Amino acid sequence: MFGDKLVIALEGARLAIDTSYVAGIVEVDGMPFLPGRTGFVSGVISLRNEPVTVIDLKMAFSAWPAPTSGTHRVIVVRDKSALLGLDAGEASISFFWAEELKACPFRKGSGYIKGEFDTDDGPLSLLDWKTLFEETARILHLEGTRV
Amino acid sequence: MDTSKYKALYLQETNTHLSGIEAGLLELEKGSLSEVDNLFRHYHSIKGMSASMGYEPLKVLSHAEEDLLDRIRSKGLEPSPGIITTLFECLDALKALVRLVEEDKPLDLDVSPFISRLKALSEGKQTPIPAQAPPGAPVAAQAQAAPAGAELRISNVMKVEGRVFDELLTTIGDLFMALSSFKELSQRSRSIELKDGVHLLGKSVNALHKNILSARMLPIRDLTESLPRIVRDISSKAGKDVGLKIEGTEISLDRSILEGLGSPLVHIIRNAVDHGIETPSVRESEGKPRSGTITLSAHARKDRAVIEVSDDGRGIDPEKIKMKAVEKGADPRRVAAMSRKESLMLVCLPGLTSAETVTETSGRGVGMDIVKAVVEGLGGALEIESEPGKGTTIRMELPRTTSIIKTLLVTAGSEQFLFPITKIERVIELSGETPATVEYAGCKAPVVDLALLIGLSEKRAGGQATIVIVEKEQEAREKAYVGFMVDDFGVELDAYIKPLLPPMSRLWGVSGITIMGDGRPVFLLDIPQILSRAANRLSS
Repeated sequence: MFGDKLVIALEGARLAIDTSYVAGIVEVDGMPFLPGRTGFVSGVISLRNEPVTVIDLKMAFSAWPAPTSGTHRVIVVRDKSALLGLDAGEASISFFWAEELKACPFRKGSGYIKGEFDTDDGPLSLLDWKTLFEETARILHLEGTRV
Repeated sequence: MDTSKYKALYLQETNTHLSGIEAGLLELEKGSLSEVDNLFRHYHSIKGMSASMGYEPLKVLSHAEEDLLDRIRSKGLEPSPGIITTLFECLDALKALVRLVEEDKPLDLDVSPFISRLKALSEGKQTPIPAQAPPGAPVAAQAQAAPAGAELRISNVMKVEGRVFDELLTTIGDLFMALSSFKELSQRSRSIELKDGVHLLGKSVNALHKNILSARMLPIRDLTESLPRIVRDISSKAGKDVGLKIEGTEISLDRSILEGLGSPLVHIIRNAVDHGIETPSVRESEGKPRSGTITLSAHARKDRAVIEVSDDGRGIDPEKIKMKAVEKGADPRRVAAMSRKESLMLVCLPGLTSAETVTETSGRGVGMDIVKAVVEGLGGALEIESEPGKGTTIRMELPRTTSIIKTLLVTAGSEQFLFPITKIERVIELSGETPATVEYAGCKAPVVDLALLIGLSEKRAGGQATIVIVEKEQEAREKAYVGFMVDDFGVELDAYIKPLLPPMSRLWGVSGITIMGDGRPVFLLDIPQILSRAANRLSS
């Protein structure tokens, strides 16, 4: 929980992901189509010859879709066989180091947020990307069964 | 019976046992009596395999050695130096005989002197240790006549774990993707050297792929060999008389596909015995032979294999299945509108069974949904045909190889998709207004916009269009076709298809994905699924 974090500045909020999960960052101009995409599931890209399902982070948190044109900065996260792309749009990306975090109080979160660190720059929300991954699988499965 | 196809396996196993005997005899010589059981097992295995293959001298000799070992094991015969030496000499004779098998030479060697000596030793008679010429001189002479170093020879047959071939195939897939990038580069380049290099690389990768695929192919027979016993056991438990006919199982499939087919096949056969075939008395009263028949047949259709399991039992009543589906919560209007073929497929809904009774192994409504999912997961399709009172046929159409398949790249809206070439009947280019139907092979094929069907919102601009015609199998086996309208079609690709993994493992309409040379992911269309949605759209 207190490891180095990659931070995405998203519409005023700051989302953090453990850097140990980050497999790569891919920039794409258009998001390739994924059959049955709906809700926050936005498309599919590839990272080192592996297909990655991409979700729209803005939409996951605010139901506010990211613009479909322009650059999509996708943070690809991986844990064992689970692989997911988090489309941060054109949001800026920075780092927050473990030493700084140790001094920050932490409180548990809910939904797609594991918890929040109180930092000098305001709250830093730790993203629960595995819950997002499971929700993505559920959405795509539902779409698959609809005729 | 033609046993030649098992020769490689025989040699591989026998050589393993011969090595085990050599190591065991060395230990026995040092006084380790605990080796006797292992040695007995090795001789027993060689005897059994040689008998099955018809290699009489090998069977007789290993049998006599097994007898001697049994005397040591159960009758307390002391493994004297004379016994150990004789066993070593007999081992050399066995090795010489196995070498003759390997070289396809006749086994016309006299092993009787070895047998007599082994028998004498078994009866407790001490025989002198020959200084030079061992009994069975011709055999020993053959063994000695082998080239220098032959004792340390390794077998031509290698035992390789299936996992190694799986990894090789994955590597080949990566090579195909790298090749695709190089092809793209060479198309943009003016360098003749690069173009030649890429061409040569392509040829080598294709040859490597072909060799790996052929090494992975196994005949369906390997999977079905145990089925007669399974049918016997299930039918005797169910108090039924069932015979199994197996036809066409020499067709080969990729090992991973064959492996995946195991449990679906057993499940289908259990269903047929438990719920399809009637009891002998019922069959008799219905004018059928007392004994029911299950037929498993396989044949090739283009580059796919079709495996059918048919029974001559009571069949499935589609109306009964429809009623059960409605009871389970299916939409009554949709169910009522279903064709006969669609109704029969309802048995593949989770929790739905056509069985009146539940047995230990089937009829609980778990199974056919899994069978269908497994077959589709292997890239195949499942169909059911049934006639009440006459029987049921479950047909599985499967790819014969995995991963790299021939595809056609098409553009629909702003996206690209891959059509499996084997599913395409014809590609027609048209201009002007898109027709509602096209004529093909004497049939009127309805035209469906692929982009709209797959969920792309863009509507085609008009003008030039391409129709990809795909065969749709109908009831009564009449040919019927559907035309999928796309915007353009591109090159034919040998695409390395990756399976769809979570979270997109259950995506509708696609069965795999490939990564193009420029890194773009492109989906392989699942033709049975899109045909089924097309049929629904057309009927509504």
